[in-house]
Amino acid sequence: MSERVYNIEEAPNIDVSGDRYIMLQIGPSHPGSGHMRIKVWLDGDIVVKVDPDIGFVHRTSEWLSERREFIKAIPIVERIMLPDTIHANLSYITTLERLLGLEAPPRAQYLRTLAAEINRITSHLYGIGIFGIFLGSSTVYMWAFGDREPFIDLMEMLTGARITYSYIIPGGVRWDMPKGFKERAEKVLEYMEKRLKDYDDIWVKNPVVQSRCVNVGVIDKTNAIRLGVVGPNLRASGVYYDTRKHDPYAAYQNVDFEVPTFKNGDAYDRLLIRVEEIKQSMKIIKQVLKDMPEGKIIDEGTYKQLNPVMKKVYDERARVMFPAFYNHMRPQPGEATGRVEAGRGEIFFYLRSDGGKYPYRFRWVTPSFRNLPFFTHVAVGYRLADLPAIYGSVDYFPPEADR
Amino acid sequence: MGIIPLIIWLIEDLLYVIIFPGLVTVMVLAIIIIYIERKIAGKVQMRFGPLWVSKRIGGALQSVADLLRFSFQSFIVPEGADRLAFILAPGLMFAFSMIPLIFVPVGPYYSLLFPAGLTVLLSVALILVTPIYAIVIGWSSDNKFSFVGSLREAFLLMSYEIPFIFSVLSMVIFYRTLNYIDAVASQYRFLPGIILNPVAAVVMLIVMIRTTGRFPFDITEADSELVMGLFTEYSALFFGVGMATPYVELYVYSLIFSLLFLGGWWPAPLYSPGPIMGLILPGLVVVVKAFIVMTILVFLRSVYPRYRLDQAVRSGWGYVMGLSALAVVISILEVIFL
Amino acid sequence: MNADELKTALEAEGAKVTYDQKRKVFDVFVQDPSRIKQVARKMLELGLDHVVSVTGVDYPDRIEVIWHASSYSVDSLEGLVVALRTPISKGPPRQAYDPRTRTYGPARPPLPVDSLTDVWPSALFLEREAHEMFGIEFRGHPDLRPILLSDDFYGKWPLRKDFTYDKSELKVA
Repeated sequence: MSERVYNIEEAPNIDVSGDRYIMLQIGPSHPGSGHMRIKVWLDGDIVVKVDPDIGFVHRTSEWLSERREFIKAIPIVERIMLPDTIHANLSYITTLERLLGLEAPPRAQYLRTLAAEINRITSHLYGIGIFGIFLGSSTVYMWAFGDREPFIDLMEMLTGARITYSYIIPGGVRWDMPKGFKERAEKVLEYMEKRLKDYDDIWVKNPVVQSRCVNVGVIDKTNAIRLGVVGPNLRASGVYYDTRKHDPYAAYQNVDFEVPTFKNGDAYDRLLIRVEEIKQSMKIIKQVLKDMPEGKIIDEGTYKQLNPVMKKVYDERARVMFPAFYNHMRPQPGEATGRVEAGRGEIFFYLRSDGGKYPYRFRWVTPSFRNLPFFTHVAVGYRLADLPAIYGSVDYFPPEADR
Repeated sequence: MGIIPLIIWLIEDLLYVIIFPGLVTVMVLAIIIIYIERKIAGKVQMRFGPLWVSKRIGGALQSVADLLRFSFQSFIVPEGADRLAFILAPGLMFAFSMIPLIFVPVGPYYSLLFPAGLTVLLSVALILVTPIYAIVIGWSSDNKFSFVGSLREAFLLMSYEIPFIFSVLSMVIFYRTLNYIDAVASQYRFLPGIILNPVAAVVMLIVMIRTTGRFPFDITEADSELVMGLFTEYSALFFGVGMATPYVELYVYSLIFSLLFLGGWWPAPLYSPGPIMGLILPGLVVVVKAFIVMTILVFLRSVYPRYRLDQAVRSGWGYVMGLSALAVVISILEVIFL
Repeated sequence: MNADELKTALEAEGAKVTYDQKRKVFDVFVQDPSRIKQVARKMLELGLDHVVSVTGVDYPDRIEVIWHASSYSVDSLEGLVVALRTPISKGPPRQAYDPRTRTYGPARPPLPVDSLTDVWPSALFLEREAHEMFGIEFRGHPDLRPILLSDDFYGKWPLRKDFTYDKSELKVA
């Protein structure tokens, strides 16, 4: 158990110049950093200041999207958050639909929820795997990445792609659920339930993991709210907040699920909450598969725009081919916002249209970027060896933060 | 002594040192144990492990290929490094990790260049020289990560040296000898040391894991914190030598462990004439025992993540030290009452 | 506290409030930038405890700075994203890129507005981003270094509408 040596409130005021402190540059090419540089000032073994230097994989997604038609932003936002592409897609489309005044039919909403939850599981498994390798457990790393595969295969069956789905389009989704998907999904869920017990044995209840994580990187409820932490990290600090509950989108108001919260807000709680959320996601997937309504997967207005060939394709293969007007969408002047709970936290979108072909302002904030102030705050006062534990537990994904 | 027996004696010794159980055996065993470590980890982690090199025999030549790759890479000395120390330290570290082998007999007729009855004492003393070169490496590299790694090594060395010595001491008290052969002989008379004093055996195992950097004590080379720890600045064969050193250490410790705790070359006859029964069979038995111990220890990589430095140091000065003291007490009580 | 009460409370502060439920836009427009901190304090008091996004929107005649705030602690506000919006005047237009000297004309001076980091610490990195993208100078921000862009890009304010680049700038190694 580690104790925090420096008081958080006074730590930012420490003058780190001079010889007293040793400065370590962790990253940008370091096994424990990802595509970012963390400047760490150490007093002996104790971290006194953390300065994350991000932007190494900045891909100017806002700039690019403002110079393209609305529909062409989908692949751009997707490629920013690769473990979690469906949420980038979903959040953009949710906002765009609000701007356009479109509403997707119920079946499409359910399919979106299904895809989002499958993607959330893969995203959490990705996070758990990275956390594992940060603490030195290559087993969990391999397991988590291996167990992502069945879910990615499911998504491939549903959307036709492994990672970059571009599945959700304004007014609906692109593919209907294929035959045999339900049975396969149930098999995968059964497998994952079995595997979660193995994870418990080798990782969650491992004494070394517990001694590394309990009481490390603590952030209390007040500070979590103050610093605007998002997603599982927020809920690990005991704040009951989930965009799926509080600002529902897709079909989340129709499914029954719980939002797990923990009290301590340490690295171990941030680990536990991801496991719990995987369980909740599996619960949602089961419900969605059971309650999936019949009907169209695209809204009436768009369906009417399909030409006869496209209609034939839609009727025979349940696949939406892009009507030409998608490329010339000109939303009414105005603005819209949208929020979606992605695997790592809340994605926020702000779109402004001036009635033209291109978005006038395309603004989005990703969860990892919003977790940054919290990360600089939380690592102070712990040991250098705690830094990977904290960094891993935050589930920070640099390309996502850099956008 | 005539000149011819002297020459025969010298050649014999050189064979011991260079072929069995010395350099060649160590290298072969290190290559095998690295392969086994990877294969076990692969099995646990739902993958194949090494497979690409020599596909037909399950990738068994992967470690050899790695060794070859290391030897053909170019070696870079960083500008700020202390050149002499930087170049010499890995070699010296490797050499000193192997020197204790001179005093570790693997059979009853194992003759010595330095005949003495104090083999336990000498091997234990020499085993503790190796980590000093780790500190030299960290200092000479002129790299903050290496430096932090060497500081960690120093902290850990100090915290685990004493339990190790206590653990050996407790067995020495019980066997009433500082000679491995006599220690094995006394295990033949009673029981293996692991049954007589399990506490000492546990302490020794912990120290072995710690000193050779196996998980969960892979602290000096914690790659998510310190890149490659001590060897951040190294490349080519020097890096390979550095990576092989812990396995040599592991081998030496495992030999000592099997001699002190696992009954030595039991079930081979204690003293038996002839080259096969007297030399080869006991040697094989000891090495196989050591090998099994090594395999168990490298398996831990698949189970545990790593501890933090302060936790490891605290346990070293804390309960491991307590256990080792307990082991000494147990031995003393056994000596009195048995 | 629901949306209507929030609206009346903020209108009392002199802000123009519009709420479009369908597009999820709760807009608090403050004409006078110097009053922004006061309104923000009021919003924090009412339970909007964190900032979701800080950004600018570049119009031909002005730049609008928008803080999107939301709540974690007040249940009925959790579904809202409140946009605190204020216009600031633009500086002189930027001069074109000169391929001969490979430089732009002098960079436009940054536009000052009060930083709200002391009200909402969660805006710390978001304001840094808005600063480097739009050249908005947040007065009172503790640490206004560029965050996503590299140092040689600093001062070009890439998300403004008149940002141009020359092909000769795109040197591909």
